[in-house]
Amino acid sequence: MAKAILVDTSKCIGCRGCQVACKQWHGLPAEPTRFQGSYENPPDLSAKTWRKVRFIETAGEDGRLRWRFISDACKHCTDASCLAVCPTGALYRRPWGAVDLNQEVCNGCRYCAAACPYGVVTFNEATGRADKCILCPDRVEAGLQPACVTTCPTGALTFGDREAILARAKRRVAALTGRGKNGGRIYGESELGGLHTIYVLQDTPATYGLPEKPRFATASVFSSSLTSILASVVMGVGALVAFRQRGGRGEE
Amino acid sequence: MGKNPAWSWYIVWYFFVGGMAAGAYFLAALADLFGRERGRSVARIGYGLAVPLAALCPVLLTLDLGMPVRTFYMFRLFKPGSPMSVGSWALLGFGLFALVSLALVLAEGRMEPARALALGRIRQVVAIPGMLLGFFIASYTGVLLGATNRPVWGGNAWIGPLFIASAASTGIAAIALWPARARLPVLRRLDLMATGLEVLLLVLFLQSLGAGAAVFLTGSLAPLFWGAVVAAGIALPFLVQAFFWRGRGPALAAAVLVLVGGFALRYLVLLSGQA
Repeated sequence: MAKAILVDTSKCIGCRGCQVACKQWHGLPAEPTRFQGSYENPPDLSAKTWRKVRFIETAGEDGRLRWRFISDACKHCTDASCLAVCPTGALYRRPWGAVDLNQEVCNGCRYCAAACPYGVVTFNEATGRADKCILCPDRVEAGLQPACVTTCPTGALTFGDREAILARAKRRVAALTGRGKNGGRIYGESELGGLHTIYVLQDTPATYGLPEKPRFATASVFSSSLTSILASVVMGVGALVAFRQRGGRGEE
Repeated sequence: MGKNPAWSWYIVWYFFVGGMAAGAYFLAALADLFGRERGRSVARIGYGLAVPLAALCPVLLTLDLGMPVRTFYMFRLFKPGSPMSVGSWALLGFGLFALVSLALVLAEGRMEPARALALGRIRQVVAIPGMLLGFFIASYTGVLLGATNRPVWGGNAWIGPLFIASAASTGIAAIALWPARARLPVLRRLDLMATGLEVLLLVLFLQSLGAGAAVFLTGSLAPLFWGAVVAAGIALPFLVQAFFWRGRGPALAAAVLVLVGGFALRYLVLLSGQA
């Protein structure tokens, strides 16, 4: 049964408990950082930070400043670009949907990092391999929840069967709309074949740094191959003409 | 948007050397198949260049890995959907075909004419799949860059064919560096054809980028693009081939300029997606 995390941004208070719990469970070190002009820290997901809370400041309809928070990490896409391009098979799928990463197999080619549409997968300079959120398979397969979900104090993060999570997300959006809390919308239901992280957003995906239409990296392979084959044929025919043409002066 | 993979100078050199090896081989194969007597020297030099250049490729690729000792993990699986997986296997196959083609060329020189003729037939049969692998090696790196979510590269379908044209022009230039062959008329015709195709594909590539083409045309990479790729790599060699092709000196200079331009093209394409 496919599992998923629900990230309900309307319940997130930006405490970063998920961020710290992730570091604790996976033994990830702290990152030396500088003040970025925001309480958000560190600046981006990295090999040492697999989950982080993004702090977004926007102006509401009334012109007043509004905080938006989102707990961001690997979305465990069904059409996962990183998994599709990985040449060694280090990235692989768990039966319940997580995109896991086998450190014993990764050889540090970094193709996954370039392919990920969300900027999640990162090369770890220290180990020479890729790193990202693996959705705590050791916990989940022992019947526990991912560390970030267990820690979340407000219920902004919940975990369960994807069907149930999706239904819960829809109920939440309906409830928010009913209370006049500027709508809300779901992200992740159908993006990239369906993500294993479902978001309830209170604003546009772009506000949260999520692409409206994320692109599956290898979707272009067919058209690129076609243009390459065409160029090969033109080159072959051109060479045939060049070799067969009766030469001018100086021809041997 | 994906993270910067920080593919290093080794990869710039791999794109350049791999392209040159592939170009030299597919031109040699075409010479073998269609060139009759006139193609002989192109075929011999092309195969001769392809082998050492192809041998250098896995070294460069290994040095760029985060875990160089695991370079053979590229052959744990064959993943048809991953350009890097298919490319790794194709590079292995390409190297073997180049080696066999060169061995057959070398063996032919030591035989009596009748047996040499039969060997030539075998070499032509080998040249067909070898040539297809050569075209594959020349273009898959461009297809690979398209299959990412990085600026300039992501979803672009014109880098593969552009790399084929560049592989041909640098392959021809490498063959023309053989001083006695620099002025071969067939090389000149091949070069003019490859240059024409390269210009067309460069225009299509830039057009497909829309406003993003500014990086090359007016942005920080513009001096290198106009100076090295367009002027040194395409315009100057074209003028030489059109007007001064009878001189051995100018022909050699043109070949060197084409190689400089080909290297600059690979560097700029790699850099533009990692800026």
